[in-house]
Amino acid sequence: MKRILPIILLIASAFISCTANAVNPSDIDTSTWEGLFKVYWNVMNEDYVHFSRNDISWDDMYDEYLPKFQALSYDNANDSLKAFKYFKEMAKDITDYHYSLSVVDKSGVKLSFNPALERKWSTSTNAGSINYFPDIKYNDTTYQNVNGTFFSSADREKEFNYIDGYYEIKNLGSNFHNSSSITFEYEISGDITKYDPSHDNDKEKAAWILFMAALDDYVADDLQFYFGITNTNVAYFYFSQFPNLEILDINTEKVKRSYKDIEYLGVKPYEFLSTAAKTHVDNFSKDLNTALDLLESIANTDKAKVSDTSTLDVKGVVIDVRSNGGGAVEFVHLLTGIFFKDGSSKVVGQNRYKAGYDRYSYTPWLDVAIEGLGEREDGDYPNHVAIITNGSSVSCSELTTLTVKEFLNSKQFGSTTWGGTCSLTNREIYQSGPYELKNANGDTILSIYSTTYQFRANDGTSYEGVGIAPTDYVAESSTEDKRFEEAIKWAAE
Amino acid sequence: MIKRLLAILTLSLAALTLSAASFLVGAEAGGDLNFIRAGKGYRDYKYVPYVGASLALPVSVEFNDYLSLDASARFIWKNYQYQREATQTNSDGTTTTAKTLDLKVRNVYIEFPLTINCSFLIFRDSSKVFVGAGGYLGYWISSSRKGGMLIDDFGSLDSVNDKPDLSHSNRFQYGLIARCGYIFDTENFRNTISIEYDFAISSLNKGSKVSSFPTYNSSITVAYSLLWRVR
Repeated sequence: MKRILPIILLIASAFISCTANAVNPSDIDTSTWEGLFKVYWNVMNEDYVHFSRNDISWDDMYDEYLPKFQALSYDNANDSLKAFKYFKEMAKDITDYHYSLSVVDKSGVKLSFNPALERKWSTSTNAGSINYFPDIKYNDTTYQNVNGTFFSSADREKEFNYIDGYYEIKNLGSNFHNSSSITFEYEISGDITKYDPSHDNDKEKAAWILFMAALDDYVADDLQFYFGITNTNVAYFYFSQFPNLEILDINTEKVKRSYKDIEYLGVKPYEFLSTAAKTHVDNFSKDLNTALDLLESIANTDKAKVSDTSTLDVKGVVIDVRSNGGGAVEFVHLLTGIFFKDGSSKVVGQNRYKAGYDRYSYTPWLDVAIEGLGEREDGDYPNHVAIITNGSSVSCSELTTLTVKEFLNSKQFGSTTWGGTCSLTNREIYQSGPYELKNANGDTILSIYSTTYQFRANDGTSYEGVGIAPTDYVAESSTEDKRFEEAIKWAAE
Repeated sequence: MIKRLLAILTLSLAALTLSAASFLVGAEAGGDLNFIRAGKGYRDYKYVPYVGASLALPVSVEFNDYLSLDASARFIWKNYQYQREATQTNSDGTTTTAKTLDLKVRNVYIEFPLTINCSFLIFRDSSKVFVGAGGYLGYWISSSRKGGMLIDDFGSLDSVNDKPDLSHSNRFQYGLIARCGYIFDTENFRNTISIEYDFAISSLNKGSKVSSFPTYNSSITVAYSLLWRVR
């Protein structure tokens, strides 16, 4: 007995010494490059949801880059260049196609890096021709100061053109006259809670920022939609992204709510908007409501009301999500649910989330179901529904594409989508999602924009990084919108 | 080094067994509760133990009236409930806390416990109490889960059954045992009621260096065994 117990304990202690402790990000000194590296590495290690999809050796990354970051000084501008280079190297194989990484050095110089975009550039003949993110030059001697980098609308247009996305809407029918857009006039930066429309000198700006923030920014950044009926009796709907449904003014027996009553940080921002801004928002909301009513009417009755006294028989529907950057998932459920019979449920795929801080700890795959809202007695909408996509159709627009293709009498025109089929939301609730680290001044010094879940289609396929290929590829034309024309033509058949 | 220690241990046990006074074999059944401890803390997650079961084929080697060596091969279900309780900061600065994940997890192991026990007579020659200590080796055979997310932002509010991928888990498990119990002997049989605490040393998940998020599945088992005295 005396001889056996020490042996057992000796064996046990040998095994105990094999376990190790991870670093808690909140305990890290973030005023050094080593500290920022450790936060980045640990946040990714714990919360990044896509490790199971590719074979990045995140452990090896730690061994390789820790000594490199330890050798850097946070006060040295040349060391910032090296730090940015290391961060880019670490992130280059990330396969989350929403992913971007931003790091700010002590002097305010910022690196913004989007590995998916970089990958698409590198495989193109025009690589390097577009300065999407004004970036650091890595020649160790010179670099651009890029404070406040984010792409301008001109850059964005070039990007879309480059990735097969620029389009013009032409040859619209005489009845095609409705259009609406909303533009977010101010960029949100820093601490949003500092904006108070009741005291701020720039009340208009503060009200706008809080109003848009209350809508989760989903109507921000030049959201536009067009809709109408072509002269071939096809209903056409274009969305540059999908707005949060909070922008609607609903007053029915079951639901009574309005964007006018949205509260944010204890105020109702709408009340502080200027008369012109209120009119802008009111018109947008009204137009969106009109578009949804039109779609609902067509899906249920094949008829569109074009005046108080007349209706049109509509042959089919075109949904245009070219260069649609995504937006609110709830809008996708509404937009596609309108076509499906009330009471039916369409499982379009499955999501799974992180379920613990271990790198490979996930929830089960959970069905993603679109609930039917339609009122046709004979089932789902039976007529043609064409969807137009391009290389910049991302995120929720890809979920829309999959849903329409799988469950409706549909064809996809255009080109393969971006391949960012997952989405994102509050990481406090779901563990994974966008992460920000602020310094003592409240300025963001590390930002990881990443998705909340993995998505797979019903056949088990992940389209992340792959995109959804069209049923009918249509090449772009510099003189006419062939994709639009092909889609309209088929929808009218 | 470990191989050498295991060889010495095995030879020592063999020598002791050969010198034993009596040898018993039988069957054991019991119930268990499992307690997950997280090496880095639980943060937003918590584990709620719920009842599992164990079925074993034990053997016991008695060296004398006071000292015995117990071993068995057993299937044990180590079950627990796994929940996430998250706190969201609202736009007005207040916070809301809600359960967002609920999974019932059932794990099946085959284990080989080995304990040295000291017995003390409490009534005539037939009633004893005992205390013991030792260790176990085990293999994580399978895992199944039921449940899902309790919130629905993406249309995935659902409850499902699935078998999680264990390729990133430590299938090989080991730990220490402390046990005590009551023994009632008849001429040819031994009845035992025991309480056993298995302290897991091996983590449920793999990991290395700083990446490791070790979690350990320890359990308390209450069991009844009936052993036949072979000699």
